[in-house]
Amino acid sequence: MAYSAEISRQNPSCFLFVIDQSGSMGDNFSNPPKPKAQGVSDAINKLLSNLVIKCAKSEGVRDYYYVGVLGYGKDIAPAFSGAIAGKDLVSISEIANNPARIEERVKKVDDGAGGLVDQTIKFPIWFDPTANGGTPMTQAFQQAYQIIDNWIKQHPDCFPPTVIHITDGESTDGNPSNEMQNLTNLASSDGNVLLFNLHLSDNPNARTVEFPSNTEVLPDQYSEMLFKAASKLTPFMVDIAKKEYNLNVSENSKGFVLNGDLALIITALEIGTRPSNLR
Amino acid sequence: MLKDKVFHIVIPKQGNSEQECEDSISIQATKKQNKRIRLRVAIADGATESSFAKEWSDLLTKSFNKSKLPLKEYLLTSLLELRKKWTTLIQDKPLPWYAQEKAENGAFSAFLGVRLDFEKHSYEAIAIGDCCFFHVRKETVIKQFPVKNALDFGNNPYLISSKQSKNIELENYLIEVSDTLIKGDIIFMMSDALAHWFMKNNELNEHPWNILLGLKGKTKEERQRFISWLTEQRALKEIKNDDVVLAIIEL
Repeated sequence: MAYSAEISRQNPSCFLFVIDQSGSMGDNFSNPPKPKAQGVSDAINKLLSNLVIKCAKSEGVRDYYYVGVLGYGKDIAPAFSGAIAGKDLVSISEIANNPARIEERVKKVDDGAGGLVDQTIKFPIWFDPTANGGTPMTQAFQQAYQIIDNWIKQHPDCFPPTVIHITDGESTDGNPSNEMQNLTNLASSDGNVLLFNLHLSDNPNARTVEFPSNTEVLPDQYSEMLFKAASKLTPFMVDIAKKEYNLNVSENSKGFVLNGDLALIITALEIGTRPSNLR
Repeated sequence: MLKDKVFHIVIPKQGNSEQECEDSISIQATKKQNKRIRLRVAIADGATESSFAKEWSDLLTKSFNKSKLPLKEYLLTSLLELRKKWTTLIQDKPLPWYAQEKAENGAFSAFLGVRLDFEKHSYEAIAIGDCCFFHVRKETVIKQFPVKNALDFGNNPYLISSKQSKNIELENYLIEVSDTLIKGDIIFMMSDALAHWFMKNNELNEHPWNILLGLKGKTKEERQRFISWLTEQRALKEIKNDDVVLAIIEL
């Protein structure tokens, strides 16, 4: 059965985030009203933090995962900041021990008496927001292919790598459908690479769509292209989406989200990074 | 010796060291007024996704000691002290940012505790999660709990947490059973991976207890034979690669 490989230190899996860093990512999300690049950066940093915590044991962090962030805009390059800058895939323990900095942020928490109080939390940063240049999506997916192809050659029996792509627009270097298809044609012995496309569309007709199973509700060809290239959710992901996030998904739902607010983007990232067999 | 009635073995998941095994067991025997003889056996399975789970499962089993309180009341009362002990253990260690955050989420564990009274020829047991109890009599499982059938494994069971705030509904999930015992009865206690195999084969009428009885033994060679069998079953994907704890009590 596909997507059932054990994830262990002997047989780790990997996540690759492919992030649109073009100039238009400086535009605001509608909710909350902050630049998309900042919101995506916050979401990725939060997710990395959660992954580190997930892999933390009493003796340290176990390398269940290797993670990369590939940015594309003015340049196409690994997008980590700090000591791990320039690396394409980094072990989760190296990530844990090398945040570029640890910021303090304030979050509202329940005061136990029906109100909310401010609590200062530590927020490690590995990935800074950037919004500059065009949208060379095709070339970005060619690079993503190389990274994942190398990984699978070294880990032929791994739980299949998951690639999560976040973009707000149309490619400026041609249609990337073939490159995305090439990527998802890569496979370990446990199944094909999984691709999630999270589309932050500027189309005024675009409404929020989460994990659809057909193109009926999509506003334009760009959304359709990203929907078609996305992988179907695995049975475990369908289960998590239903049970933990109360989402209306089916076995035909795809890893595609259109115009999600930041909370939905974070939910999609959580679902995309929740394989079932951590050992 | 009463303890000699019990065979037990704890084996880490393939690829992990014995120190990393998060399953634990405690066996304690007492004689009261030279008459009433009791045995208390507890097993626990610390959740891989939580940290300091080994410490938590050890605390849960080691504390399963003498008490006249009914099992549920006893467990709920003792948790107050155990949670303090777990928190003290963590606080005494210098931890990096991620370990601090993880520890704030608490550790989680499945638990199964059994009190056997050999004079009254009875037992009482309490469980939460997917550590399983099987009572075998004359080649038949006459009682099993808390998991009812093999398909029910893997459904993220409710576990005992080292944080009270994560266990608001704990009482609702504690399951108790009791029954009488007769000579020749066998009690099996095991964590989820082995229990799933046991239940699956029992449902196929394969009498899996006979395989385990054939493998038990206390010498180094016999222990190695058990490990070899488990390794083979894991490779065949008959048993999930997970920590294993097993206790067999023969009457």
